[in-house]
Formats: sequence, C-alpha cells, structure tokens
Amino acid sequence: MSAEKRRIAYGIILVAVFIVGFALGWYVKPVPTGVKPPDKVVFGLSWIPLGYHAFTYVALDKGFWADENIQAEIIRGYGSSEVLKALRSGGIHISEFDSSTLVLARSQGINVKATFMWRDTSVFGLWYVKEFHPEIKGPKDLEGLSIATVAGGSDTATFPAFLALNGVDMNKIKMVYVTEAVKFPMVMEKKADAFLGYLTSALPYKFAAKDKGYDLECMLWADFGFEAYGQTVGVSDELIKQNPDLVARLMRGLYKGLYYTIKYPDSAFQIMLKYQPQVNTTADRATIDIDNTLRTPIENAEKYGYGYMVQDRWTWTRDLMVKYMNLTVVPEVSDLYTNEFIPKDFKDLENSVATMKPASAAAIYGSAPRWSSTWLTTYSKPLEKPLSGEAFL
Amino acid sequence: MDLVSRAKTTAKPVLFIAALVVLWQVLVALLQVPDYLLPAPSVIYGATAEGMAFFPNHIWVTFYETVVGFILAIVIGIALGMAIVQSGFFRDAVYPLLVISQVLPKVAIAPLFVLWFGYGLFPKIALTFVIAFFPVVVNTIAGLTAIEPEMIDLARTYHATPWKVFIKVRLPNSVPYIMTGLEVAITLCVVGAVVAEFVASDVGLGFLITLFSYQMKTASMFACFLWLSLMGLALYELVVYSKNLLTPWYVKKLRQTRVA
Repeated sequence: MSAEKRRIAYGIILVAVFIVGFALGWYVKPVPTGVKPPDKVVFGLSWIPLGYHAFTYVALDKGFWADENIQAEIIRGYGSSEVLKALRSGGIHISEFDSSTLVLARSQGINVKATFMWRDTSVFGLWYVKEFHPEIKGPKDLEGLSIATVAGGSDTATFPAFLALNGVDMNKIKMVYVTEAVKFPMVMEKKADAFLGYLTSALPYKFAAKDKGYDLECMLWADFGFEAYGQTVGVSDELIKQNPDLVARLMRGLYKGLYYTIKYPDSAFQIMLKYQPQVNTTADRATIDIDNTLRTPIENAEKYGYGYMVQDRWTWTRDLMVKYMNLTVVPEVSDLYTNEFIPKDFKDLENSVATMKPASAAAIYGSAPRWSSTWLTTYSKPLEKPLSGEAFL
Repeated sequence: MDLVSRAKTTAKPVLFIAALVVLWQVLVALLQVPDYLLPAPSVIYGATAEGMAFFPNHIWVTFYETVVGFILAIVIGIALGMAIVQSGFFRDAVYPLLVISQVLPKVAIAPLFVLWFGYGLFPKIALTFVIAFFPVVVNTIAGLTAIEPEMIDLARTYHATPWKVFIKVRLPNSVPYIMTGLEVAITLCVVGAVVAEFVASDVGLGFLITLFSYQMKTASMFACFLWLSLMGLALYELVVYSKNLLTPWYVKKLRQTRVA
C-alpha cells in the first residue's frame, strides 16, 4: 500500500474510533465516585404478566426499588415449578409463586423461602356453567360430574383434599386431564362438567362466557374450608445468607408497590398498562380488586404489616401437600417461610405511599372505562374477609 | 456381513453411549449438579426401576398411538403422493394445502383436535398422522417422478399403457424413496403421540412427562425420555430392516457409494 493510501486508511480508522467512542460515551453513563452502583435484580413472575401482577410494575415504575438502589427487571415465568427451580439455580433473584408448590420444591431439595405472602387466601377454584348445572350449590353436588384440569398442577394434586374436607367421594368424580387452553372450551362444549382454575387467572373465561350469554360461576375452595396459603414472594436460602440486605431492600420496594396497589388500584392498573398494554381487559382490572380482598387479614396487616405469615397456615399447607403428593421428604415449616424481611417501619412506608395522590379513576379512564361502572362500584370497598366466589359473579 | 463385522458395527454405538453415560455420571458428581436440574444416570436408573409398576401401561398406549398413526401416514401418504403425481388437480390445488398444514404449529392445533374429536385415542392418533404423513407424501412424489426418461421411452416402445408404466416402472422405482420417507415419519410419529398426550391424556408417556414436570421429578422425566428413545429407536430399526428387505438392490448401491 502506498504511503498516501496508508495515511487515508489511518485517518478513516481514527474517525471511526472517534465516532464509536463518542457513541459509547453518550450511552454509557459513568458512575460518580463514592456511589455504589445499583444491584441488578431479575424478578420472575410465575406466569405471563396478568392484571394482578400490577404491584410489581408499580414498584418498578414509581421508583420504589430504585429508591433502594435496585435496578429491577420483571420477566415472565412458565409455572411455579419452573420459577422455583430458576430461583434456586440463580437464574432469577426473586419471584412470586404458589405456596403449595413451594412445599413440593423444598421436599425436592430446592431451598427457597417465602418472604412475603402477597395473596393470603388460596385462589384455587372450580368453575362451572350455572345454566348447565343449576343444581351445584356446594362441593357435595359435584359427585357424578367430570372435571377438566391440568395433570400435575397443585390444584389438581390437592383437589382430593378439598373433596375430603367436604365429605365428597373422589371415586364418584371423573377427572379429565387436558392442557390449560382446552379446559374452558371443553366445559362450554359440555365435554366436561366443570374445570379447575384459579379465581384470578381463569377470570377472563367468565367474561368470555358472559359474551355468549352464560354464567360461569366459581366455587372458591377457601370458602369451603381449604386453608392453604395462596401466592407468595420468595428468594433462595442462598441469597438470604449471602445478601440479606438486598432481600430486605427488595421487600421494602415491593411493600410500597403492594400498598400502592391496595390504595390506588386504578392508578396501579394504568401503570401496568405502560409495560404490558395487552392486559387492558376487564378481567385483568378485576383481578386487582379481587386480590385486594384476599390479602393479609386486616388485623395482622395493621399489627405486623402486609405479607405477614403465620405458622398454623403454613403447617396446614405443608401437611396437605405431604399427604396428597405423597412426599417422602417432609420439609420443616420453619424452612418454608420467614417474616424477618417484612419491613419493621411498614407504617412509615404506608404513610409515604398515602401522601401520593394519583389521578382519580375518572381522570385516568375518562368517561368510558372498559369495565362496567356497576362492577367498579361493587368492588371499590375497604379490605375485609374474603368474599365468596359467588359474590364476584 | 459376517458375525464379527456385525458385532464390531453394533459395539461402536454401544461403547460410545456407555462412555457418554460414564462421563455424565462423573461430571454430575464432580460439579454437584442437583437432581432437579440434571439427575445422574444412576438416579435415572433408580427412577426407571421404581416406575416399572406403571411404566408398561403408559409405554403401550404411546406405542399404540405411534404405530396406528404411522400406518395411517403410510396408507394415506402414499395414496396422496400417487394422486398428486397422476392428477393435475391434486398437484395444483391439494398439494399447497398439504404444505400449509405442515407450517402450522402442531402444539396449537392439538387442543383443537381434542375439542373436535373428543378426549379418547382418536385425536392423538390424528395428530400423530398429521405430523408424520408429509415426509411420506413428499418422498412418494420424489420416487414416482425420479425416473430416467429413457426408461419411460423403453416401456412405451413395448406399447405399455400409462397404467402399466406406473405399475411396472414408476412404482418399483419409488419404493426406496418411500422407505426413506418412512424412516423420517416413524420418528415424527413418536413426537406426535407425545405432543398429543401433553394436551389431553391421562395415560401415556407424554402424560407422565407433564405430571413429573409439575412434580419436579426430573429423574422420572428422564426415565420417560429413556423409554421414548428406546421405543423410537426400535421402531426406526424396524423400518430400516424393512427397507433392507424390500429394496436390497438400493441398499447395496448405498453401501457401495457411502463415504465412511
């Protein structure tokens, strides 16, 4: 290469390096000296983002985690079993999952602990079309029917417990194992009499049935003596041991996110839509208010804070799973949960959220929200004991 | 092939697999990989032995669905292939629809089959057929059309009718191609049966895999994979054996022209 051409080549390289360096400098912000960089955390949802996950997006959007020097990312999951494995292997740092599945996981050596019970009451339910089965008033009326469900799920595994609690003969019920997508159509096509589904995640089917002129009712197991815990947030034992401070800060941010969702459900939903616009449905909005009636019992929430767990309920949940899943390794109840990360200054956190004044429902949604005003009026109440499934219908 | 050569040929894959299994066992122990992530072969063996009380019934159901779906794929696949070669209507109108049917994701179609055909064995056999028939069709078409023109000309010089040309020239020529298509189809049949059982079943290896997945019994899942592998391998070897029986001239030519 001649000297002239070499000079031109060097010049081009220098310009390219300058452009790249400038671009890097533009996008990569140097951290001021003396400031600890934020902890990068992955929050794993147990399933696809749905309306009731709003409290996690509130914690993200309102900077509740950023205030704790945490840079969080929320990702979807593929079922409680999978997120528990991911928690243990370190693929995610914190997750929400079903409490019954946690018992199963611990018996398999997956050492994860519940740190915040965000949905105190189990939402296991049995759905049926009222017009097809007007005779169903309680569990006893299920004898002789066929029930569609997913093989191996926690609700499927503990369904015999629900039946036994209510004196129903399991042998008189036909179980039909199908994939999630087929349960509701099978019932609508009368190929099954009912299906098992969570009160919250199966709620869209209720609206779909309503569109067809049918009443899809939910028999909530918790209304019939089923005392297992619902959904909890948890982390691995390893993270608690290695970085308890991070766990504490995660819970502080999450606590504020949850309290904000309890106090301002419309605003919480609107925040969620910024990140997950596809959940803009009546059912997704409804699940937030439904969940707000299924949180920590008010007496415990006021005394100890939301997310507080009691030993009796964990013992019940553990013993149920041990019996009906035939677990050979019985986890200790004390290994399943801890209340140590529920913020001691929860009242201060609640007060800080209470000073926030998000826009009213009318201001957020205008004059024509997607859901009926009757529904909004019905469910805009203070927290109380869980309502029966029938009250939602 | 004499016995010594045959023994050497069989020993190669067996020894290779055995070496992999030993390596797997050692690595899992050294790296302390938990069972729920990747169980050691010894743990899988334990799960397999424990499951002998219930595995046979589930293996039989998956086997039945696979074989029936495969037979349907052979009969309908070959018939469709012949129709496409012989008929302009089938070639222009029906063949594109067959291609579209292969592009659609089967895991999305499977729930529809359950709704349309019910909960029994039929939707599973139907899905197995849908997944497996296309290679049979394509290879039948390839076999029926991959004829040297001189052969057709020769047949015509003997005043052979189109039907005679088809029976005496095209069809025998297509047998090796069809058998190759069946080799692909049989493995797809196993997959189809399992996918169908994922969607709606209370019996079969696919059902067990779903159940064990939820119960975090990874070793038991691997035991199911082992049974599926053995079933798939046995059925595949049966098809290869049939190919050797039906097309000895073609197999000889393959052996003469293979690289290694």
